[in-house]
Amino acid sequence: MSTVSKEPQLLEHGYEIQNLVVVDENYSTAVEEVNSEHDEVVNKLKNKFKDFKTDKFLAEPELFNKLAKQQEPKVMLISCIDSRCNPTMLLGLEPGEAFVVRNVAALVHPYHEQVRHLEHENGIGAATQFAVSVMNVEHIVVVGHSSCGGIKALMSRDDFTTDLVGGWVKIALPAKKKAHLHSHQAHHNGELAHHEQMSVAEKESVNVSLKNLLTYPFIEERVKDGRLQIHGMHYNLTEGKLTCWDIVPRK
Amino acid sequence: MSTTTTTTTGQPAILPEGYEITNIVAVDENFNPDPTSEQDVVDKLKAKFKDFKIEVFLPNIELFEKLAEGQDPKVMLITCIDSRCNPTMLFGLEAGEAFVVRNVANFVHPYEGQHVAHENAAVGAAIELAVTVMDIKHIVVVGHSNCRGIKALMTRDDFTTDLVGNWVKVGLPAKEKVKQLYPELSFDEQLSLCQKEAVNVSLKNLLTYPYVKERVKGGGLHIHGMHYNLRHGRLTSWDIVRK
Repeated sequence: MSTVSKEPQLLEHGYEIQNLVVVDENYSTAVEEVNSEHDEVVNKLKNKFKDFKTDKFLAEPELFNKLAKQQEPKVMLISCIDSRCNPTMLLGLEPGEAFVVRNVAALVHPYHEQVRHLEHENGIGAATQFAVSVMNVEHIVVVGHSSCGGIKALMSRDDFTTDLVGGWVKIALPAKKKAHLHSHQAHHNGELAHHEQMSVAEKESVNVSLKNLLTYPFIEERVKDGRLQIHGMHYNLTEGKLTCWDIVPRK
Repeated sequence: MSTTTTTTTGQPAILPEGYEITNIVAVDENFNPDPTSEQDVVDKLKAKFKDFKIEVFLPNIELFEKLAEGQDPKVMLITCIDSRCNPTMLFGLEAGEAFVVRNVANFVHPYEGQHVAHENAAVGAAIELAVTVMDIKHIVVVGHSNCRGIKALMTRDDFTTDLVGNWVKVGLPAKEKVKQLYPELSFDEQLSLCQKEAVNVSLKNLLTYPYVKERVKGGGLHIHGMHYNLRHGRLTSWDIVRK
């Protein structure tokens, strides 16, 4: 039985499948060297997968057998697509430990009743609904970071209607307002103000996302009764520092 | 830790009505965990960050200083939120190597133009940023076995009842194809095929982005599918190329 059907129905007209390979501990790159010139990047991924199979998967059969039967993560992370911010690297995640959502600037948009209807997809909604209502995670952590391209776009633009990045990052506009307010009140000189503003915006956008998470009824309910906790984190990738905080119902 | 309303500078933070900020800590190599804390799950993350700082960041400070100036990844991965499918683990990703998007069942929805509702813009914003601003050379969509999103796709008839259904229905062409062409296969075999064909649906949807299509046509961007079998520790990999 073929692993992937080669029939073209699901492919764009004029395209085909090529270079179908299966990688495991016996994988050899010899076969692919012919084509490897522009595919170095992806060949590396395959070779690293072979390393993973050999060094980790085969080395811990009990763990991976158990995980193959089911996963029971207690935490969901929402973090940025940034290549310097892999949660597995930063937070030492083990397989099975955490659901991870990654999007531009780790943003969560609010829940609207109308997203139940067909015209809105709501990936964050699907992910949190699954992790919270079906899989009963006990913590959601939103992880922002310094030098974030999405927050940079938020702070530098006036018009958010011209492209998809604009349409997406405008979710965090309340954080921009807060950063400007801070800058105005702090009376810093221009240069310092910009840096400070970015930092405030990055952290407050995490708070915007946390606030928006609470608009999801199945999240609000569980936070109120203590079954679910929500947290913010900000990774300063210049200093190698992680600021962490919790958002809790007032007593 | 004291209760407060601020994260950084003494200014009131954005908070939902009736909530407050608590337990603000900064974790670095000198972090000392609070022995009275009972937040095992999140405390572990902080302890691991300290380990990262000491064992990875500081010994590779030149790399991290360079990355702090800017990133230049050549590849974007689109993978599932599944806790067993961390791309950093599977592909030994180094800091700065790859953009990573993660959502339920690693789906890419079709391009709908430049002006869409927030909710529909997540993956598109990432694609736009990675391709048109950061000039990546490869996009890889990575599916996997035991995917609950694909299972929902294969087992449900009604996709309008909840958020998960509404999200995974983009994969219906994969379900239809598998059921049509391979009715004789067991459900598990159909599921496995559907996981792979759903990757192809996402790859096809990637090509509806004009700037993706253009760059693939011109040879400056390559698109690939992968499927991780987490029971057997096996990775199937393929490329989609112009005929």
